[in-house]
Amino acid sequence: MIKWIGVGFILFSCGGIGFEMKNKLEKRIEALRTIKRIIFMLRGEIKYGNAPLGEAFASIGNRMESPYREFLMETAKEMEHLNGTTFQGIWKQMKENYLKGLPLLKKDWDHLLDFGDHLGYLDKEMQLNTIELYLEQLEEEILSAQGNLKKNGKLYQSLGIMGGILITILII
Amino acid sequence: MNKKEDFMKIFTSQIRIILSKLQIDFEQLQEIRLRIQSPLLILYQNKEFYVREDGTLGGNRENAYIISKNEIKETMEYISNYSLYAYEEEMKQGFITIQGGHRIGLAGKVIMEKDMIKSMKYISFINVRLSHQMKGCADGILPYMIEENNVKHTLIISPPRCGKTTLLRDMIRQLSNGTEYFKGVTVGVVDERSEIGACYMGVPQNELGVRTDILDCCPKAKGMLMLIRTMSPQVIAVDEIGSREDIEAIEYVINCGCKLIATVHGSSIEDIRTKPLLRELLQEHVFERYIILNNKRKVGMVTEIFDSQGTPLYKAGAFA
Repeated sequence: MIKWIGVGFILFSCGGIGFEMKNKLEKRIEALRTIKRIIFMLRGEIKYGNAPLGEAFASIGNRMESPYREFLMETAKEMEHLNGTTFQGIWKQMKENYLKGLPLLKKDWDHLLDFGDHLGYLDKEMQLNTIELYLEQLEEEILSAQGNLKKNGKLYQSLGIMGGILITILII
Repeated sequence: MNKKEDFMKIFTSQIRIILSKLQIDFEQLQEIRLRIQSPLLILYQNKEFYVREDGTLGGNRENAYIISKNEIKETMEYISNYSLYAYEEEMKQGFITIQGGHRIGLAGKVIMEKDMIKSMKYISFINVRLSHQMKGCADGILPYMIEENNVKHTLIISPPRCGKTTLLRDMIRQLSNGTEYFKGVTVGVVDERSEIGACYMGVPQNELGVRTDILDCCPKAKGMLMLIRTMSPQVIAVDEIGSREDIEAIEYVINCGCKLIATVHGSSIEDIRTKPLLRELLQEHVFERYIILNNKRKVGMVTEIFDSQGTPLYKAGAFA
């Protein structure tokens, strides 16, 4: 009887690992998609509303869920204080404070911080160009990740369960 | 002092520290000038000083604090609220007004497009002109401008940096709010260079009175006509008239029964007579009061007031 419970646990946890790996891929895609949405809205705020960055972030933040909401609202608040920190500095700090938990890869973080480096000091045309560039980068990453998910998602899940069965057989 | 905090925010931490060390009366600080790879200079009490890193002032370059390229870049970030792209219209005019009503003049490489200024790149020279409202500076003048509750068409004649805009501002405020002996009237202001009201995001940073409407960054002639047509002002105030369009608009305003207060660059009525466009206004006795300012003894000092015929009504020092 206990043996069967044990077998159940092993299958469950190995399957769980496989499932978790697939889940991580999905969550990363979701995060990238949300960031893309935010940048898209930012483009609109700048292109059509000519909104200053702080206002744009506050307005977009209002429409987002956590942790993006806090990230954007706190960035806007910090910008208002004008206490001698460059935008680069604020962007980096807020990312550390609110976005650290997101399932993104190092290259995703690099792109995000890079983008922050190019916000706020360019003329309108150049500013919109850098936004376009980042949007394209995000789209590329999303497509590539989706391809990866399709290819490997089911594989991870199956490997997980198979691995569980293998361990079970070895033990028994 | 709130206004001091407002303008300190645009500077880098390093410059902020230096400015806080200055042992001066900030109400009398007129300009702070940042130039790339040049010493930090200020205009204080109408005199120029070099600023040293320890916060002391000097009369020469020795030990003066030198502004770096990065500091100018960072200062521009703060001036524009981290959003330089949103200030293209202001850059075309060459200045940005910040919270507190202070005007920041900018100079750098100008980008042209078909004979018009499109924008500015590589901003390397920043002039922070501090705005100080002096409430009550028009107290002594107002009685000369009002007769039996009617405002007289008034022209303020003044050389540069004598406080004519500060005086105009207080006249507008008092006419609009009213005084013990005068009921307030609706005043329309055409603030072409955003100096009188210094609107920041639509909010005037200077108090101009409860019955005042302001057209911000609007050319004077068009602005005067717009105000007459839409805001029914009883008095219109403009700063620095001089062009043909200005003169024509003034004639229209006066014919509509609206009172006019204007300022002009000059040192005396005779000086104005030498300018062909303005001579017409003098000859037609358009203005009923002329107020002459100069800053020989102190800034904002009214030296003489004349009526439309040139009869002196007041002379500084006459009763001294």
